[in-house]
Amino acid sequence: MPRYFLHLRYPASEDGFARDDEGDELTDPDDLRQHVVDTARDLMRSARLKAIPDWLRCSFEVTDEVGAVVLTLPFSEAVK
Amino acid sequence: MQLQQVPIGNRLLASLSADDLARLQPHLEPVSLALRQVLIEPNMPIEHAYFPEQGMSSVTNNSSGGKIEVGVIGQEGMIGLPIVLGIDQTPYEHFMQIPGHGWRIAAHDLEQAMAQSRSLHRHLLRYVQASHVQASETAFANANSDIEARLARWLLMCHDRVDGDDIPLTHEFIAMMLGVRRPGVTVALHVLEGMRVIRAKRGLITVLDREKLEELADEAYGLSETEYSRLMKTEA
Repeated sequence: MPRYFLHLRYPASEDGFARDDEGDELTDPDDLRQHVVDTARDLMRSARLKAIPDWLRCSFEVTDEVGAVVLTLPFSEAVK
Repeated sequence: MQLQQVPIGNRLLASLSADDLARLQPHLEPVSLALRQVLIEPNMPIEHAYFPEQGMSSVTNNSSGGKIEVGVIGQEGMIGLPIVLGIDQTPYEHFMQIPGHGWRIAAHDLEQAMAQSRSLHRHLLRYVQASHVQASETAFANANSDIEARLARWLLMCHDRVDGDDIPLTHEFIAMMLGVRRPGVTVALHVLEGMRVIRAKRGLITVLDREKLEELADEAYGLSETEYSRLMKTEA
């Protein structure tokens, strides 16, 4: 199963890039966008972090197993 | 058996009176506690109580959306509290998240020992209260604290239960503990790492500055640990 890494870019005075070394396995690569959108929505709904006062200013940068960027998703696009 | 010659590293057992410990000792069986070993299945008869010497077990609610951790038990405690209350099962799963070793005792042997010794039963009931306080503090932290503080609390609770400063946990597991999606944990760890409080490698978190971690956890950490020491009359 292909594994995708959901790195998070967030506004920070320095180094606003939280690298994902673990990744998520997806049975079907076609589900990737929906998976990332769901993850972003879930975070916006329930994850209260001091470091991130506004999730809408964050984005996911998704890479595949060889490190190629396969999707960039601003959280603002995850909101319908 | 030469159990008497083995030093007891479990703080709950060690806090028993010499008589009560001697009462249990013939029934204590040394066991290794492997990663992901299930100690108690939800809603199944509890056959043994476990007293870890090393390692950490998670108590989880296995909801349809996945497991969420509602408690941790290590060398300060005992897995199998319902037995102390005269109850033979629990809806929560108990399994090892950090491997180690410890002692186990058959449920009926523990029941018998408690029936013979009121002081043993009373002492274990005090631990039930300490455990109840921990669960209540988890509820408090979940309602009151942001992810950074909750993460700091959980890391401190793990740090209390491992030897040294290395905590072998994945972000995925911590996400499960805290009931948030993994990226929420990754970013919080990234923030803590930026503050030089921890070092995070794949599957391994090293505590660099415990004092700062306690500061970050704020009100989310400390009350249940202090209460444990008070109830069990052990030094933290």
